[in-house]
Amino acid sequence: MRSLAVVFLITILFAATISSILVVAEPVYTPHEDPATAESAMDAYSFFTYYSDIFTLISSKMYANATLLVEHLKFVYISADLTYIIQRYNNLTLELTQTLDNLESLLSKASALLSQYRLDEASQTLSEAGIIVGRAEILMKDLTDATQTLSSSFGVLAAPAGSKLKQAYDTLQNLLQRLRQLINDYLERLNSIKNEKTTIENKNLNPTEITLSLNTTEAFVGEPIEATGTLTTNGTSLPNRTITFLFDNSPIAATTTGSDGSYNTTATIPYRYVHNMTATALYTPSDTDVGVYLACISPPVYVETMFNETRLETTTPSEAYPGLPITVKANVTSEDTTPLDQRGVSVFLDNNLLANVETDPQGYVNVDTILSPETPTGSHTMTVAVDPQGIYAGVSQTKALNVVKNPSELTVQVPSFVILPTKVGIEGNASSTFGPLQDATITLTLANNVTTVKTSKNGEFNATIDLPSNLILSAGFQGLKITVEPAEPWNAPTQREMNIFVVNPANIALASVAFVCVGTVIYTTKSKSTKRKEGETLRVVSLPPRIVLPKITPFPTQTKLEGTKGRIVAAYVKALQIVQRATSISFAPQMTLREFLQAAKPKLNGVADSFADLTFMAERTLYSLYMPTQTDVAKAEGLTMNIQGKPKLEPA
Amino acid sequence: MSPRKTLPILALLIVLALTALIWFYPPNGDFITSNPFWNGLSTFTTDSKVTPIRSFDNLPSPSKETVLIVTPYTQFTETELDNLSQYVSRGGALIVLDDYGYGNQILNRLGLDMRFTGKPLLDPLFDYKNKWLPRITDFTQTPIANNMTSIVLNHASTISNVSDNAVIAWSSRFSFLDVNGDSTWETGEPMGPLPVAAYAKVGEGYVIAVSDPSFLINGMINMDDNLDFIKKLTQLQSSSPTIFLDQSHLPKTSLDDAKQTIATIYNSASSPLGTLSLITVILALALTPVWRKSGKNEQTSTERTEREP
Repeated sequence: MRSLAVVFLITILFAATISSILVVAEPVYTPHEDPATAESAMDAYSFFTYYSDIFTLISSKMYANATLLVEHLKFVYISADLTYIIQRYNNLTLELTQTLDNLESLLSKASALLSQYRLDEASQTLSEAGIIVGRAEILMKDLTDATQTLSSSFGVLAAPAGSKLKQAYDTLQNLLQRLRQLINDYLERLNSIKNEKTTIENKNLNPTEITLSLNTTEAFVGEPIEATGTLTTNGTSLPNRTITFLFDNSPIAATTTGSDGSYNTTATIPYRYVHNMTATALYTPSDTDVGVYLACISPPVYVETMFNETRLETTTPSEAYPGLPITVKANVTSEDTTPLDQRGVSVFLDNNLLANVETDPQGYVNVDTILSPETPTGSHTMTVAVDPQGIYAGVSQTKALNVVKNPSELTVQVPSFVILPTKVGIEGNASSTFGPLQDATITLTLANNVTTVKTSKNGEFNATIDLPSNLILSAGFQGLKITVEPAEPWNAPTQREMNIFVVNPANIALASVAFVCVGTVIYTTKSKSTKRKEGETLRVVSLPPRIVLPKITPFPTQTKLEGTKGRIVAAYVKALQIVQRATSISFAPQMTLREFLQAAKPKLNGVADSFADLTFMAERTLYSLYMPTQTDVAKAEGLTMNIQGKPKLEPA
Repeated sequence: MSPRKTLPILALLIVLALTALIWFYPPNGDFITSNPFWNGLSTFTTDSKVTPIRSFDNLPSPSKETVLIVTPYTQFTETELDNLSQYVSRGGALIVLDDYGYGNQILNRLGLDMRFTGKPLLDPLFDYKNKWLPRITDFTQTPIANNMTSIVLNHASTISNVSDNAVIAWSSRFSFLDVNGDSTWETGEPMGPLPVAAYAKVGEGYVIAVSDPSFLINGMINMDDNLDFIKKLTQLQSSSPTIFLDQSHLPKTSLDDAKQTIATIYNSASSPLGTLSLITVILALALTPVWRKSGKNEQTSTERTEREP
């Protein structure tokens, strides 16, 4: 019993230990951590160092590079508590960079205009630059404040002097100072250009005036247009001066004034398919005119530009398959349906170029192109665009294209039932409306056993699923799952589920054994129960109507009682025999001493108390650790003598 | 029922319950394809239709249009290295994902100069949460990494001895190789950009080395362009390759070992001989009381016969 308990305890201990070890077990050396629970820590030193690089680029006027670096900060992980301040800091830096870049452009432009003695335009540009400088100063102040806030958040102020963080912060502060200096430099440059402008104005250079007239104010794009005018200064014509002819501020022609200061030039209207353009004539002093005359620009002349619209009719498929060709038809004509030959036509799928062709003499194109096999199924847009050509503007049409896959079909022949262990042979054929599925991957899964095969040229396959002996798999219908993964991207995968009746002898045998076990348990239990009942019946039947004292003795261990205990019990037994005979009450096997006493007491005239005392003494002797004394023995034998001495109690 | 009978039954029930728990509890080992937890590869396996393999004995031949992904955390045998070498030379694409394992064994056998440095790559600025999870944003403009924006690695390493034109991805210039393991940059430790992915042509096939296998785990695969990155790597030779994933060189947990033991026992018991033996033992145990009883009955009747004159 003890050994069993020890084994049981060891089993429990082992099971508890091993289960906890196994379930919670993690690899001894894990070369990764769970990103969901990873501790977030932003490195302030690296952040300040990175910003030092950005500010260095800004102070070197490399604004485009600085902007790229700021935009790259989106890949930096920012903890939630710092998100706002860092995003604000990034935005401020980006805004300052763009502002300074804009300022640089404006000042350069103003300087260039001034060099051409275009004082009015320069004044306007300088005015814009002045506003931008003011804005840059405000941004610089905000950036300085934000740097302080950010430094506090990063704990820079608490960092020990000479630490890497403190050094990075000091570097950043130095670079901020350089940025302030840069803005001051721009301000000085602005003032310098303004002074230069004032100097030119103070020179009282001769003003010039230029006129412009066009031979027409309506023309097709690409058509020549004739511009004429006169360049004068204080009413005197200026001969042999270069005049630039501009359309929407872009120079398209240049000419020289004649001896009377007039000029005449023919230029082609740019192929820009807008309905209005502005023409101007510009004179800028050069060579000996520099320092003598001011530049001038003519009043604008508005030209209504014309062009022909292009008509496009397209025929595109509403559905297409990945990896399969599609045909796009287009007819390109003028508004009066005249076919347009050699017009460039481009076909786009979701803004990605698929094909580029030219129309035939009848204005038709027939584009055969193949959709990429990776094109995802679903709604897409297909755009057909006709390039502008000559007086014909471009045109485009966009239509919806639904990319789908062709449904596959599967026919399978499987056995209706199998007996384990076995190899289940499965034949079948995979096809689609396009024909047999060649080289398709067929995956068959039956009772957790997986087999993969490829289809033949005619789409047929022949697979064998190995079903080994299995203790767990219960007999009955098992699901067979067959999936088809076509090799062609235009065919859709498909799957089919069937049932096979599986007979598993191992499982059946185990079940039978289980029944046998249960039967055995029931049999043994019943057998014991029957035996007990039989025993009880026998005892009842074997009891004689008149008690034979030696057979009903309630003390099978009587002989073992020796000494004082034995003598007291012997005295009781003697008294008991006398009482049984006198009262005709049997001491039944199920009776206790007290029960017998209770039953016999009413018939014991005068010796009831003696027999009661003797019963208690016998009870005490038999069922307690008490060791009777010689006095007790004498008392017990005395009580027995008393009972024996009563004539009524003597046996008849 | 007496303790003599209840204790063995209780012990048996506990053992059965624990066995069932171990059997049905999902595997929790790193990079296991059926592990649904953060460190498993179930997402990648399902998404990319990956076939897990446990031996290189039956690698496809010819191997064109197939990709074999290896995470070498245990050493390779000479036979395995030969199999891998043949696989690549026949046109297969081998992707070696390694940080602190035995990837250099493969690179060495394939005659390549590039090596995994086996030291941690830390990036204190461009990262996800902390410097152990570096974010990679610098990809060479090759078809392999076309249109990639960023990926996140997890306790990664770097690749050395590789020419610039073979590099697929670089770490940021703020990253560094923590050679002495103190988690901070010290003078002499290599600073970024450092190669984290590179490729080389070997025979008819390709070898792609990525210095971190953990970017594929369930907890990482959906971060940034991680999934897209591995897809592009696998599509180096074919747009729809068959992808095999080696599961035989991974670190094993006690749970994996226990599962393996149970599987072995189960397989033995499932065999016809095993099943027969099992049934015999169960029957013998079940019928023991009956035999004992009949034995006792015989003994009793004999004794009675002897007593009676």
